[in-house]
Amino acid sequence: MNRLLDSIDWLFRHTLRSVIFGIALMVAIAVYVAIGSGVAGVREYFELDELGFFNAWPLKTLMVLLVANLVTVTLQRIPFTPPRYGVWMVHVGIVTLIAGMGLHYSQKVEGSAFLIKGRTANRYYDRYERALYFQAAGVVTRVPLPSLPRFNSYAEELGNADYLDRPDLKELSPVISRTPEGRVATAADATGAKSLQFSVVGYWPYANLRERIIEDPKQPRVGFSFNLPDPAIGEPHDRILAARLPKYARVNWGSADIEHRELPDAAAVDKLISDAKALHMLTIKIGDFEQKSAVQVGDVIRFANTGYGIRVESFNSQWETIDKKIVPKLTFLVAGPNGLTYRRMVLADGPNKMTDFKLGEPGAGPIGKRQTTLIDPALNVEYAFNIEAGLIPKNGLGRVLFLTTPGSPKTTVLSVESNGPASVQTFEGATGHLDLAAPMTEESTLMATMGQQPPRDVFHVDCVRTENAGSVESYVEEVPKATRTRDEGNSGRRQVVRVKYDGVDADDKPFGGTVLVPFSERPFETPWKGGLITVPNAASVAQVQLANNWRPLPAAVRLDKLEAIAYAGMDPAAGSLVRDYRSTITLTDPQTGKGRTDTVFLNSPVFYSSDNWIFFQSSFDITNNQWSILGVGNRPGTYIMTAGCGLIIVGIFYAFYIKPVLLRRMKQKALANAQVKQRPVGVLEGVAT
Amino acid sequence: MKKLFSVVALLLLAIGASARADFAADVDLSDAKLLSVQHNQTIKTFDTYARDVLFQITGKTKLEGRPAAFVVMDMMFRPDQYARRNIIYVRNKPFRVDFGELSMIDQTEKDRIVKEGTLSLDFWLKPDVQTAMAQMMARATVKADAINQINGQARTLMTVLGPADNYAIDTLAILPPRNSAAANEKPWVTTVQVMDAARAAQANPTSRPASIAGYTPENVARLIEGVDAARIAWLAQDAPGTKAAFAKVAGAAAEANPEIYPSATKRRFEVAYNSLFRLTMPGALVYFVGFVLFLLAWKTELPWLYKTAIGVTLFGWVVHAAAIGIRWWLVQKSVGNWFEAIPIKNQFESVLFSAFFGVTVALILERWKKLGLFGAAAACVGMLSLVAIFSAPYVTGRDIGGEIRQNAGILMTYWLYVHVTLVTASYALIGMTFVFGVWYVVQYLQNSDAQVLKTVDDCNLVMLQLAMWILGIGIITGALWADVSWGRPWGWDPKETFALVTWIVYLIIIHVRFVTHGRTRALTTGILSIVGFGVMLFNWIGVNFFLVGLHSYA
Repeated sequence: MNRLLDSIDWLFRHTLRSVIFGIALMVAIAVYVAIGSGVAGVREYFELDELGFFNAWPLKTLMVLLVANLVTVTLQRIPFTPPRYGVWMVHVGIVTLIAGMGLHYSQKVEGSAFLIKGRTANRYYDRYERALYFQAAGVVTRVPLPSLPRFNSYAEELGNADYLDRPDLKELSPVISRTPEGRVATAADATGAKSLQFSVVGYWPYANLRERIIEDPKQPRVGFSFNLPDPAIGEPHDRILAARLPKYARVNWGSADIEHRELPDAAAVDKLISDAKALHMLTIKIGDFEQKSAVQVGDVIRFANTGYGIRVESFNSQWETIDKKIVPKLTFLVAGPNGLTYRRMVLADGPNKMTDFKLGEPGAGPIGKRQTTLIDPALNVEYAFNIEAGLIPKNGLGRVLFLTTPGSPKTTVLSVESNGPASVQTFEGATGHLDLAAPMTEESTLMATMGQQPPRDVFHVDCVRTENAGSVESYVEEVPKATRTRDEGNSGRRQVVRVKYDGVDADDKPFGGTVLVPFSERPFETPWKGGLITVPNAASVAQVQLANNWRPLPAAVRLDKLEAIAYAGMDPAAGSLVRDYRSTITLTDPQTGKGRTDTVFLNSPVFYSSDNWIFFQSSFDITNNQWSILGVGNRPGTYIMTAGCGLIIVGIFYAFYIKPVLLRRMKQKALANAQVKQRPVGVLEGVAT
Repeated sequence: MKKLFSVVALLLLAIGASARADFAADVDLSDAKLLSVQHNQTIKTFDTYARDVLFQITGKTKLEGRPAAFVVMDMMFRPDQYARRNIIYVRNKPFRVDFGELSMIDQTEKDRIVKEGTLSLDFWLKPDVQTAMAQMMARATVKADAINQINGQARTLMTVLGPADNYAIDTLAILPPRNSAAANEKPWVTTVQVMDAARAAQANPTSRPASIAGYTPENVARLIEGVDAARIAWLAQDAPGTKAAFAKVAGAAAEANPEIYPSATKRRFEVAYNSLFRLTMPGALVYFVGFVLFLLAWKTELPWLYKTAIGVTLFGWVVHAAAIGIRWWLVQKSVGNWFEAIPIKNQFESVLFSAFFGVTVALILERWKKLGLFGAAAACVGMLSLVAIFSAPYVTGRDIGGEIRQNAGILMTYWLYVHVTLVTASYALIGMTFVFGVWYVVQYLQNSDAQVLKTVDDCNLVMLQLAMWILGIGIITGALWADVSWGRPWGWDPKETFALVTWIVYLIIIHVRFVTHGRTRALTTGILSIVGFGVMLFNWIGVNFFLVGLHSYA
């Protein structure tokens, strides 16, 4: 027994009561912190972000041991005397700081609130935790995925899918609402199914979600696959086109459609091409002269011996007249025999539907000054638009048609657009190269209306034609580490999960499948992409999406005003540095309904709820001044940590600079006392006298 | 006959070349250098502008021995002479080897690129080269940084060479705004804008465009005449004509709005400051002499040598103070606000300030203790710091903040001055502990006298304690700033964590002193001081290069 007690005493003396042990702990903490911060690969191996790594059990253990060591050493080895007050303060400060940190990191939540001018937000997106979002029948809900990995890929084909075998990633049933009586409405209710649940069975931190045609010799169907970037942002996008595959006969490309049509023979193809080139038919009458011409936008036509000429500038299939009628409209520039130049607009709405615009007039609009009477009544134009050809989409500005005929390896690609001539490209066989001009935008249409040539990107497309398009499958293409970018990696926007879904439909029949789900940065503010799931007999389409989990804001936040403060002489909209961003917000207490207005700007946050919450300026819409992103977070233990830091600093000052003075004085006093004791009595008496 | 023709041609070429060489030597660009330009959100002299852009393009402040102002002016007037020259410097040395993949250049050219590291603008803009670069970027993101850096240099060169329809000098914002009560809050005006506005005003006298309103017709005429004359004189290699033309331009620009046009004193100071390497090398030289004198005084124990060492180091301190003071004044003149101009916002300024603080503290301690050691450490740290900030851009190929410009809005707060001042001040003291640590280890290995060892250890302890205390406050003030700026006091950002690690190293030193004794105690302190300095250096410099975090500007 004594030996055991001796051993415990030895262990106690060499650990908790030992300064060397304390030093060893400090070394261990420094090494842990340095590795966690300096060698990201280590924490990524363990699927820990910064917050997770520094809140993990090894550091917690080291901290607890350090606190125990500090407390023991302080109480047992450092007397509480004035010269030691400094070290006491430092040790108490460190213990207080560690306690504050423990509280802080165990309760800390933070994220960002996306605020749109004039609107109120009630939620923010968590910075770390992600969730599986679900929507159907206009209902959006989500289920948090706290243990979803972040840094490494896991999937069946990678042989490590068992990592995802966790309770919070399996058999998930997103809750839509909970009634006071306890009835729970789930995702299944929104689809009309009797049950519906999801399990995460694959995860990729940085991947492209792609589509490909699966060939099936038993299915002699023509299909095309090519990569055509999104015209607005240039992001690569796989496109699949197959007239006889549901959902793939037509795809959307900006303001244009891309469509595959199978025509009976080559003559039908030629007919469509000639229709495309003769969409606009003008009948010109100048006195006795009459000419009927098929024109395209961009054409310049001179009318023999009349002295008149026109340049066709623009077309609008959806022009709204004063009496709210939608009719096709063609605009052209007229050069008359007398040197007069003006702009004329004709409507395909019967005869004499013409309006002229005088050019270069003071107060004129971009297309000229509208005239109440015709500038030159001698020129009479009638306009007819071939709407039956169905070549210009109703809500779009152009259409690219892939035309094929049975038994022929030839592909004809016909591009038709509102504000340009039709063009034809062809290729034979399995591959072809196409040059596709970016579809018109609102701005380029306006430029065309004003007679200007809008700048347009041309996309070079390598197209693959398949004769046996059996089906289309989605797949994940993981981006090699060497080509990943830091920003995209940090943002998480390239994350993909594979979700397995299964359930029982309204007719008690089981259904299920797997779907690849992309990441959405703002699932409440931006349209979702992909992640469609098939529920038999469902009333509406069901869709899932991966995104950061949302949490309720402590107050409703309305964005009232945004200001970008420029440096003197600079224009932020032109890309120069910005001095400050200011968001004026109104915070409304959800309980009392009381509101207060405040301004958040750089380095000047707004505190809320007795300083327990903070709102700080994080990002800003510098181009259009329409949105602002505020960082949001709670602040548990902040004042405890501040107090700890204060004690440490005061304690160090005391120990380094006051303690030596005290010791010197005590030494002098002791010396004086010693001298007094050693002095001969006679001398003392002499002094006294 | 043919021979005669060749000789005449050669002679003409030689005369032409010598005329150009003479022109470079003869032309007096003092007025041109003193022109004020608005560039990168700041008002600076043409001399500063030329140095900034030439350094960005070529990695040098001179080209073939010719000063930046001459070279940049020549680029602006004779752009065709520079587009094909190999002057874009590829700073990323490993990336130079990647040009070996290009099939459109031969092996000799590939070897030259690896050796010299330079490219021409024409070469870089070739579609084949751009396609190859895009493919390289698609294969490895790490190449993107190097390619983007060259793209940035090419863009700067294109700006300096000017647009196709104008000379670049016409697109420089050299005319102060005129038409507002708060004139300094408006962008400066370019010659092109003035000329366009003048033409428009001529065509329609009733509606004068905003950009020309307020200027007198004589003023505008002088400016346009001056710029035209400068162009003609430069192309004719007419040195006196060039000088006269720039004098005219300078006069017209200054008289456009004398209230906000920088004073001649400020502009002269700025040019002198540039010529003296922003006072870094002069300061370093004086400190070097002081350091050598301290070492000699230490060895010889001659009082007069010690006094001279003190005097020289004090002179170095004055130069150092002038470097900070002049910079502060120049930044204030450029950004328009004394408070926001405090020079501590980037690596150049923070090292400059940090070293100054360290030298000041050490000189005060030297005055108090009179050991010679604090003075030597002061001179050594001062010298090393000033040499470091002078040479860093050349060694790393990056601007560390020497160029005067506006800063990101997030830095415009008093927290910056509190936090950065304290942290960088502690770094200077940590530098001193490093000097004492090395000194102690060397003395220890040489079996020096015990008293000498004790003195060095005592000095080290004084610096170490001060460094630890100030660093502690610096870290805490950083946390307070982070709380209001990023919504959390501590986010485990690499800069934060390595500052904490540095502080823990000093905490360890203090505790190690409790459990060790005698020479071992002092030796351990010396060695750990060197380790602490290493961690601090990694945090200050290394983290910026190797790790990703929120302190990108620190």
